[in-house]
Amino acid sequence: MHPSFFRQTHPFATSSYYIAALLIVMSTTNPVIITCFFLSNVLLRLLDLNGKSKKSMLYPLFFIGMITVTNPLFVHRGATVIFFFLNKPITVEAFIYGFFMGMTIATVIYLFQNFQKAVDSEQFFYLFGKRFPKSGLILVLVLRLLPLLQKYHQELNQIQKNFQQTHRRHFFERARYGLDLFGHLFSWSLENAMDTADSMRARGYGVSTRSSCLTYRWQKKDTLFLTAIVLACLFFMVSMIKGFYQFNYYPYHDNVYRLMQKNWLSYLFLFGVAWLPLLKRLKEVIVWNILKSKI
Amino acid sequence: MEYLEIKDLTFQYAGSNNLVLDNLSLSITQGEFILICGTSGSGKSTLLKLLKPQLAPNGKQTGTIYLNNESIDALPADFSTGKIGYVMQNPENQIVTESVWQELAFGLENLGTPPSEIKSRIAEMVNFLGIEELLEHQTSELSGGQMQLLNLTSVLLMKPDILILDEPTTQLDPITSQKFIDLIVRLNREMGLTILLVEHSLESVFALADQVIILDDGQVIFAGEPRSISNGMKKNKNVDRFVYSLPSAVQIYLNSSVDDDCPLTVVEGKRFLARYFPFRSFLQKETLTKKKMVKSIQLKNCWFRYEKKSRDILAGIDFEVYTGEIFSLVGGNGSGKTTLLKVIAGILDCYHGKLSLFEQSIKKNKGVVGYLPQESQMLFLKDSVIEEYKMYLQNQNVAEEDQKIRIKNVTTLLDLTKILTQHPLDLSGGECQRAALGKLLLTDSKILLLDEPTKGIDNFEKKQLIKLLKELSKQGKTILVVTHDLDFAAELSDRCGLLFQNKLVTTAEPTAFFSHHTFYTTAASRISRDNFEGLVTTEQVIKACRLVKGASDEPRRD
Repeated sequence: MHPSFFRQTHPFATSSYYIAALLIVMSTTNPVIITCFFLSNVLLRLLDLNGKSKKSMLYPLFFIGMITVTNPLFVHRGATVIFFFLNKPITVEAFIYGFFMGMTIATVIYLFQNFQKAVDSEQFFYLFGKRFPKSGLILVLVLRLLPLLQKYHQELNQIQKNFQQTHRRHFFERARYGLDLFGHLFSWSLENAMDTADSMRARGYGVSTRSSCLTYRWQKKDTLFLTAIVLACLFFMVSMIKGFYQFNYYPYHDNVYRLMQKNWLSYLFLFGVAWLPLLKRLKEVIVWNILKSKI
Repeated sequence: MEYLEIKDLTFQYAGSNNLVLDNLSLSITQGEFILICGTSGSGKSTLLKLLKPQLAPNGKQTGTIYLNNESIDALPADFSTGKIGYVMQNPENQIVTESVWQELAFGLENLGTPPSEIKSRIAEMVNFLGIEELLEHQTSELSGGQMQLLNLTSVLLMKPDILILDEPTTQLDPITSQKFIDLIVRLNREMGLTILLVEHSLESVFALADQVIILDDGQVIFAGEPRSISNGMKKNKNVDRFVYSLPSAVQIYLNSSVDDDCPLTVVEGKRFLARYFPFRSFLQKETLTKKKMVKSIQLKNCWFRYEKKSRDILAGIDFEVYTGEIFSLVGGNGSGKTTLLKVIAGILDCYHGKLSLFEQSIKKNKGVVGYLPQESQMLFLKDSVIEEYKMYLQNQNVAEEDQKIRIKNVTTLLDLTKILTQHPLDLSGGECQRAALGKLLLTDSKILLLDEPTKGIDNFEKKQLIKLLKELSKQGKTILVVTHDLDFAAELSDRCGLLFQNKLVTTAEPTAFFSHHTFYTTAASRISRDNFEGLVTTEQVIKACRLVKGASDEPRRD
């Protein structure tokens, strides 16, 4: 794949898609919609997976397990009782509801991860830097400081551990060591921030209104893309108001097939929205392979 | 009136009674390359900061600085930001943003330059400096030298007329810093930039400057062309503390009794020696009597890498250091010097190979190794030096009475009285290093490992450090130093080793080590090798000059 060749969609268009997707996922409890968004985002994430991001891929799944287990313990609605736990009924419906709630949370996390991948910090700064120049810059500074701090902390901890032989000490001594370490890191970063502030002032920060060197061309396809998103949102809202996506978990959960049969158009449309980035990604792979064969 | 004119400038920091700058006057013509030097605390940095209105420190100032006949404080802010470029000492701290592109554009964006112009200016400048490959990186991935280059570029993009550099190369290794200095000289010669550079290792820049200004206690003690200054210093001997910073050739000249023009560079130094001193060989026959000594550090076939899939940082290292010896390891960036020290210190473990200390396994020798990292402030977690010492000794279960005695001993040995109660982060580089060394000596570490001890300290402090380490080695401590500084290694060590591509290539005594190398050697060795065979440090050459002095003060006739 050729990342910069396909990074031509305007960040505003990309961001609006993710915001729309986020709103859709969070505003419904419909299992079909959630599963659909979940699968598409997991697949998209799998496509960009490398060694380092394995962990971040796994931990959202943990939410699914946790909420599936805990929801029935607190919610005792639902008609199909499996067994009684501490004199309270544990129901199938509560399990199912918990499972899909967990999936919603996991989907939201994957959406954010994919968003981060699609819109890097530079584009993010471009989008929000003009509206909120101060907070945008602080964000950039923080993003810069974090790896620095991490590097320094690693080194410091290595050296101090060697000195203090922490593994041989009591809990309290270790806690005190942690506090001291934090204190040192804090004063060190303040000290460094002074230098950085000087460097910013020396290069005229705050002298006049900032401009931005980042420019992204707004293309026809961006307009098309944005219109599609806006229309999809409208369609979703209309269907929502009309109750096409209404799904009851309690006391008995509704029949999914009947719902889908009745409002097939609304569902089909939403599938399209969910799988859009993945389809786009597939198209990129195909286009790139065709282009490559010409080289 | 001159381009930049400083008139009767006096400055004292708020809340202090000391005059940092005392009635200082200077004038600088456009396009000059000015080198400002002086010992720590002579007011160099303060002077530079006052020249940049955005960085002017708080305090009481009298006198005025004029740029093109206008008082510098009256200049509009956007004008003075662009026209006066300022590069600071620490490469990493000056960088503001995450990506190189944004960093380059930062200054121009602040001034509200339109995007298309920013892009064309970056393109032009990056092309000129040949740093295209940096553009694709994140700032945190760059090496120190690349970072400083980035800082310089982002300042240059604002099209300054004056470029102020405050010890820009102290954090860099010699080869990178030489490249950096070359670039600055090129900017001066080709673009006509007026340059004000503060440096404390002058070996390569001294001869290049149009004007050298030497500050002491906030006053100009010498100002003028490098040669006339050196000639002047010969007559006025009152510069002892400062002399060590000068190039070897100048030092040799100042200490000889020859009354001629001063040699500034290696070539001139060579000619100078040839003219006034006869040939003499100081090569000593190698003493083959190897005493039976205890090996305090021994590494056998040591292999190390950071991650399973990364490359080897140490690839089969065999070496030993004997008790009471000072061993210097030299080598380029990324040759694995620091990693080797960390392995010996027990911070890292090699995946193959054996480390033994005092001919025993390391487990029997816990706490005999003291490691002094490059950033010596890392040894301090507490708010003052004395608190840190006390806590450290307490952790080692040392009795209260004994604690006091030990702290007292270290304090007198290292001259720490003034800094005991200060915060470690407030100390200067040299002071912090002494305090950190003190911490290692509290527990009587028998092996001292020092990582780049000359970084950020001036040459006078360097001399003191050499004296101290030699004293410690006489007391039986084994000292292993990793350094870029060849002069330091030559003067200090009993043996030197060269690490290249993660392997130890040679080990030899410093005279043999440096007099065999043509490039990887000290300036003193290059100056003297045709005249005095087998000398490697400036001091040795000075002594040799005195020894053969009787022969002639007149030019040699051959």
